[in-house]
Amino acid sequence: MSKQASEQQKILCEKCGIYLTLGKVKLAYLGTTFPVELYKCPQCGLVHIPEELAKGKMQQAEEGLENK
Amino acid sequence: MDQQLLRDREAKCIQDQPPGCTAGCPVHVDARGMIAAMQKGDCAEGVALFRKAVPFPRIISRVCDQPCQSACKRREVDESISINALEKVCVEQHDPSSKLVIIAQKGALKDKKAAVVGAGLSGLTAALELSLKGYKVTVFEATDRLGGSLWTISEEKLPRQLIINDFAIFEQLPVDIHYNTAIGARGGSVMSFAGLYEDFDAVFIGVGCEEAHSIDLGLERDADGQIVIDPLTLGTSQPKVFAGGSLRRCGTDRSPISSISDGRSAALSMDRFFQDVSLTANRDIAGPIKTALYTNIKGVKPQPRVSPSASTGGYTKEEAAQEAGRCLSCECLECVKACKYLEHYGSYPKKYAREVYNNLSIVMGHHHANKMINSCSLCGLCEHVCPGHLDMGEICHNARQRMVKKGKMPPSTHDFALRDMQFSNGNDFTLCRHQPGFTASKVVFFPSCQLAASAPQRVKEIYEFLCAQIDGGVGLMLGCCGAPANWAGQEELFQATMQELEHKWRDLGSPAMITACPSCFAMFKHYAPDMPVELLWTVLDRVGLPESAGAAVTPQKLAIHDSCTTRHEGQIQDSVRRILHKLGHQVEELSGNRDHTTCCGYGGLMIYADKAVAHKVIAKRIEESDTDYLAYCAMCRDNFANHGKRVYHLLDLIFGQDQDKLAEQEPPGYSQRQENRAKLKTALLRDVWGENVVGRQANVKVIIADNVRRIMEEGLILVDDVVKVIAYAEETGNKLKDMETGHYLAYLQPLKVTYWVEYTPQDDGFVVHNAYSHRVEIIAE
Amino acid sequence: MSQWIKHESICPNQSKDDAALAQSVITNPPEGVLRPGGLRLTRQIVDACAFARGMKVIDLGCGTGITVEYLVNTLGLCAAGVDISEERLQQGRARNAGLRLIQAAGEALPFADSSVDGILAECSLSVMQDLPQVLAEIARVLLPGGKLAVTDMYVRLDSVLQTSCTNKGQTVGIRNYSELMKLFKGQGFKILHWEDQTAFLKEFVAMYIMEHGSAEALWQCMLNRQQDKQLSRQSLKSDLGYFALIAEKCADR
Repeated sequence: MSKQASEQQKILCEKCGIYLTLGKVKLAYLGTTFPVELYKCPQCGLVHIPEELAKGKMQQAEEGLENK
Repeated sequence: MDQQLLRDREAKCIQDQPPGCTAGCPVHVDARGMIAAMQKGDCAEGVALFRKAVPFPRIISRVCDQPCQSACKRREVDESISINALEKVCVEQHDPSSKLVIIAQKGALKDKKAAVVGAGLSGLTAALELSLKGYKVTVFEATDRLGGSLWTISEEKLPRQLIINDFAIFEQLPVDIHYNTAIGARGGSVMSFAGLYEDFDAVFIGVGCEEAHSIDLGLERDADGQIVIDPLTLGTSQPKVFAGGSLRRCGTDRSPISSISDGRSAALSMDRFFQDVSLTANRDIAGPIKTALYTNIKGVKPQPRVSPSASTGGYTKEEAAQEAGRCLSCECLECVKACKYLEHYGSYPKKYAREVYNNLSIVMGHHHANKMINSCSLCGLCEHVCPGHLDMGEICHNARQRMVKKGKMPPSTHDFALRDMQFSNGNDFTLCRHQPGFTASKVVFFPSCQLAASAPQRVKEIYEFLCAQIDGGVGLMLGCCGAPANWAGQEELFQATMQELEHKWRDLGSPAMITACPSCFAMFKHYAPDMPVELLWTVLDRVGLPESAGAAVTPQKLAIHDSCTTRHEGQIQDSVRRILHKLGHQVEELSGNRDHTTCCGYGGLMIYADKAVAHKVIAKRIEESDTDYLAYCAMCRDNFANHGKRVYHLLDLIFGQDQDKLAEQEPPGYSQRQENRAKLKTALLRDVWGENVVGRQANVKVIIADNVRRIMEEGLILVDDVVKVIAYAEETGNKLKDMETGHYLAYLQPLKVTYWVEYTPQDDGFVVHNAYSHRVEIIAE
Repeated sequence: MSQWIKHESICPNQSKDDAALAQSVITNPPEGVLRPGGLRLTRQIVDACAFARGMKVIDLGCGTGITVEYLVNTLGLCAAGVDISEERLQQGRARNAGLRLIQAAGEALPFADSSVDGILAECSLSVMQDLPQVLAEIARVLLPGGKLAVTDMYVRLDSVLQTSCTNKGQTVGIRNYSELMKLFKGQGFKILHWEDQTAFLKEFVAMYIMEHGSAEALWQCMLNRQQDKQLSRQSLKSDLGYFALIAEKCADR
């Protein structure tokens, strides 16, 4: 939890000038859509996907759906 | 997928065929396993394996007639292994326990009664087996002891205690033994054979040769007086009577092991007979068989059989271990020895073929064998070395095509390579022209997308040379032959690419095609049969080399790496060697040369599907020799160079200027490759056709340090992609800021992949700190 | 949370890691990762049944009663839940004391004959021990004309090879379309509606992985459910799918 809290301060939406907060983001791959909670700008909707997530769980989800 | 096709493929792989010793043994002792145990001095394991096949191990270890000896593969090197002598040591060192045998003597006996006449090896084997299957067995023996003709063997050879010990097992089984009971004896109170056949549900006759001749068994005999016995079932003219043992081998040498085999066959027949099922279905003739196993004995140094020091002729434990060391441990694995990819999966092709089949049929909706299917280089080496010519490449390639058709091919595997191919067949690179000043082309030069990417300067040089050497007009065609699509199983895409290519070729007047790439050569040869195609090397061999050829490169010894797509093209291989000789170089033949060559890792898109395996393959290849390599394919050259091997491309030797740098030249990265192709097109249009074309503009200046470049290369991210993201972010203002580092973070999904770039503005450009990507799409709401 | 409760109770040979994983899911329930389709699919099937407000509906395999809560609060039904796990039911009662949650097995439903308007079995039939018996019970307690709404996993076979499947005599596990049809019709149900809902399964798998990083525990649990191991080795062109089915108890039974 504390890591998330500090992350909240870390990423700013440059466009809107406000910090990102947790929100529901719709993701999709190979025709399957699924919701995930991620940090996004509450105003313009810009999303933050950290490298760790992209190379970790996201890649696992990609493989899971590709191999289905 | 077709079951029959699977079976045909599996049948080609003979790895799990038995070794000669096991095949030649009538009861198929796992001699190989037993000897492996002996090598380690593990007699317990050896005895266990021996005992599995042989019910009376102490006796057989002494008297076996050893058909295995003539089947032992080692005979072809020096002398067969003394298998029986090793068995003897095994049994001496570790007395076989009877506990191994009595496993399931619980439960009521079945209600069928079996009779065995003659307590010789065959009869007692039948009795033992039937008793273990739970039948009530009665043995009738004319003398007062068990063993039959075993007692005629010298005591020295077969100590009597061993007979007693081996047969002691009957004391633990519910087998009734009637001694001094000669069935059918004249004038005796003992029952006749007819009576016996009536009283029992099935009978085995193992009375031995002499008795078989003298007694009236009530069975049909042939012209020579031998009992008519079915070779498969050991059945006789009476349905419930079976016969075997030495009485089947009158006049030939005694064969104790065959007697045991007969006893076993008879027990099986009687078991089936009792259960009223087919005696013949799903059953092979017992006894020695021929094996299809292949074992490579090349390089095995002849070593004579170990001589026993003991006067008795038996080995000591140490001698046994030494003799066991001579065993070849027969197995095939020729392809696995030759290919790191096949070795990587820890098994052998027969198993792999089934894995691929199962994957296509799917296990619970989750595909397991995708990676294995996608990472074969399709190079054909396995087919070449396999005694049965099993082709993993064919299996994998077909599987990929099927997966694509069914929509089951994971897109991420080949996406980058296919997009690179699309680039090469896009406007930035494609070109199709007659030679300037000509309105027709006698031949057309197709350098290939990878040579253009890797060494654009060479393409210019060789094209100019060909124009000078060949009359009638040398056209030029830039593009990709479609090999990535073909290898990826993308049939439709490949067909479309080929069609487009053929279309352009026809526009040029259907000239003869000269290509500088062995893969393009293979694609055209197999899939565009109308198109006459030649590889550049045979052309140069014929028309000659430029006068200044090789001027900058000192003649030296070079080891030739033959491209895997020229595996069966002897003429091309010869041409390359002749060219090298013409240039004054000395040719070293690698052990894996010509039709025995391995892939460089690019074939089949292996390096995209499984980098780790590709590394293994490349590492093995470059370790074959310390000599500098010579490759005649741009990808082969680049892949070896990327692994630190000093290697020349053949065109380097012909046109290269700076010898010192040639062999160590670092191959361009993915971004540079695309840029090289685009720049080559504009340069050729300008310098050869005198057309000034506006090149691709870089509207955004990016500063990328070496370590970031490496990260991008690893992640298959092009400079173009990074530029797109930054341009978009700056234009729209859609970007994030990491407050800790002060870096901007932006993302964009141009096509399928979403790219993330971490950057900072600097002067008139942008410094790129990091880049990564993912395929999951972010849906804007 | 019914999906995860079953995950723990029907996989007795789960490794400690899997059990811990399942446990963590229960204490930190990922939003929306209830079962494939979640309450959206529940809404769809309930709408298809066209229950009137106040009708008696049972959620079979209700776990902690999230669906029961939804049926009562949002859809205005007189709903109760049945589950084999007293522990899950307790968790449900702790969350909402007003929910009617009863401990029982699908094979022995604690209701009188012809006393219930509808039964929901969402991702629960495939883990019950004796499906024919469960269906018989459902048929018994439903009023004539009562509706049975089922969602679950199934094995999608290539139509060419459907006949060669050998799930003979199997009582527990994941079945194919023809087997399911045979079972339902055999208990006197009329099939009103069948729909493939595999898209929800894929979505579920993706969400599961995004939460846990790997779907291994999920596949293992599904493999454990597959009684007939032959199916996984057999050469069938199969695929794991998800379906929704609405059936009606025939009036003359």
